[in-house]
Amino acid sequence: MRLIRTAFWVLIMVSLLAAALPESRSDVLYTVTAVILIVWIGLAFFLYRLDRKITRLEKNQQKMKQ
Amino acid sequence: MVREILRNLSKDFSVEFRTRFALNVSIAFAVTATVSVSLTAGGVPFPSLVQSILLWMIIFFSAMNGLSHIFVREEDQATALFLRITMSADSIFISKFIYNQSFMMIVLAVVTPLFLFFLQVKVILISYFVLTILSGGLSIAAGATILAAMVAKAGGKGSLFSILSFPLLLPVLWVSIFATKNSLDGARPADYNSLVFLLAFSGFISAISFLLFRFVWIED
Amino acid sequence: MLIRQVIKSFYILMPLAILMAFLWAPSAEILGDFSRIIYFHVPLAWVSVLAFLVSGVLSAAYLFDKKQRYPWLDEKAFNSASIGMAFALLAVITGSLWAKLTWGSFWNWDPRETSIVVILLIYIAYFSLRSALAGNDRRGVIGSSYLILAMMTLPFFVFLAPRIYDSLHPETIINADRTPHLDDRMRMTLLISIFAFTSLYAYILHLMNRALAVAKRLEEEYHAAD
Repeated sequence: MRLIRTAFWVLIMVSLLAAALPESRSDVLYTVTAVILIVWIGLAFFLYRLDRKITRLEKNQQKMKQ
Repeated sequence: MVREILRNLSKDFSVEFRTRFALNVSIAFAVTATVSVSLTAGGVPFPSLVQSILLWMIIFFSAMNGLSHIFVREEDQATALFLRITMSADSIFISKFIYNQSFMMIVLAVVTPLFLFFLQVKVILISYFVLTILSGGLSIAAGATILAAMVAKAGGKGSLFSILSFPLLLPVLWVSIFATKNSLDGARPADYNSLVFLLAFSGFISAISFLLFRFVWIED
Repeated sequence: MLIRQVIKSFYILMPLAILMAFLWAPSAEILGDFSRIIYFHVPLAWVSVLAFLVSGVLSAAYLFDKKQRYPWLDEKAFNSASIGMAFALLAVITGSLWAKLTWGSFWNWDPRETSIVVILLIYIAYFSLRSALAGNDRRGVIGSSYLILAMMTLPFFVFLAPRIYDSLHPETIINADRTPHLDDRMRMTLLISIFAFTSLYAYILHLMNRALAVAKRLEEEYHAAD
């Protein structure tokens, strides 16, 4: 299920990108985009790990209570 | 209720005026600030905008030095508990509110003439000027009363009170500064909208603080 | 829990917004590529106001929720306020960069700048009050009532600020004529970006609240073990 959802979103993004490409853009914009995307991916990865950790803590707590 | 308020008021006045600590500190601050500004300016009169900004800054900070004492004293001398047991929160708030208003009026009565005297301020619209000072002081004291109760709970830590009051009272300071500048220039006829604004603000903030006070005061 | 899945959409929406902002949306007529900062500045400002409102609502709920049916509402309000503070600072930074490029100076007391400064001042006062009340069991009540009191005075600023300072901040500054006609693609990008930032805010708030709940429960167990 999760795989399908992710694939769906990737499809949307790729098609949007394809729509974007024909227009000519300066190289600077591509560089800026790349840099910001990389920063964002780092942040998202950090948030994802944080989420996993908190989930694990919650599960541990549930177990401890029982 | 009225009798409770009156009793609490007379107690507050007699306790506060026995030592006059808060009043002395406020007025001493005002005198120091005014004299040091006048001294460093060396007798050169400022433009009217600067004069009104200075006047309101001095009023604001000397008020901030004294207005919290009415609640901080109750916590310091550990009398807050007895007050909480014997009286309703509403009558305590009203009596402290009236006390703070009269305190503010005393501070204004000392600071303003002193300022006019030392900084060579010429007031053109005199009645408008006096009304602006009075209603500005009313708004400052109205907003500061509940903040004083909060600060007292936090142990009355020094400048916390002015940090808390500043964002709340910024509209009051703005309007008062521009109205005071207007009364010093006399460039435009007195516009009473700003006075109405100040009175509306003080009414509004007194109503809100009256409603919120029982949450701050009552411990359950 | 549908909402939990929905707020995770920022994982997708954020890169999408970045790509759209830089590559898809056309550049504005006068400002050129500098105008692309709008797709980050406007959502940041919107989220900071939203976070501010949420913390106010949570504080009010805390005061009226006498029986503590919803636990730790004051701490949740504090969490929302701290996210709002971070977003407001970022909005100020992006805004003043943009102001430098278009109006020529970093800061010029336009009404919206004034109101964001007032919001920042309120946050600073709120955080100092809470840190002064650390360890006091009245902390939640007093912090919440201060936040409510401070928010109640904001309408006066909204009323006052435009009368005292002239606005430089019309949305019209993007184009030459006086109507804010954003291109359809620009509007779409802005919308996606606002959604992305809003869900990012909701996600971070949710994470912080979960961590808070874990910590609180741990504390309770610790005290129960005594």
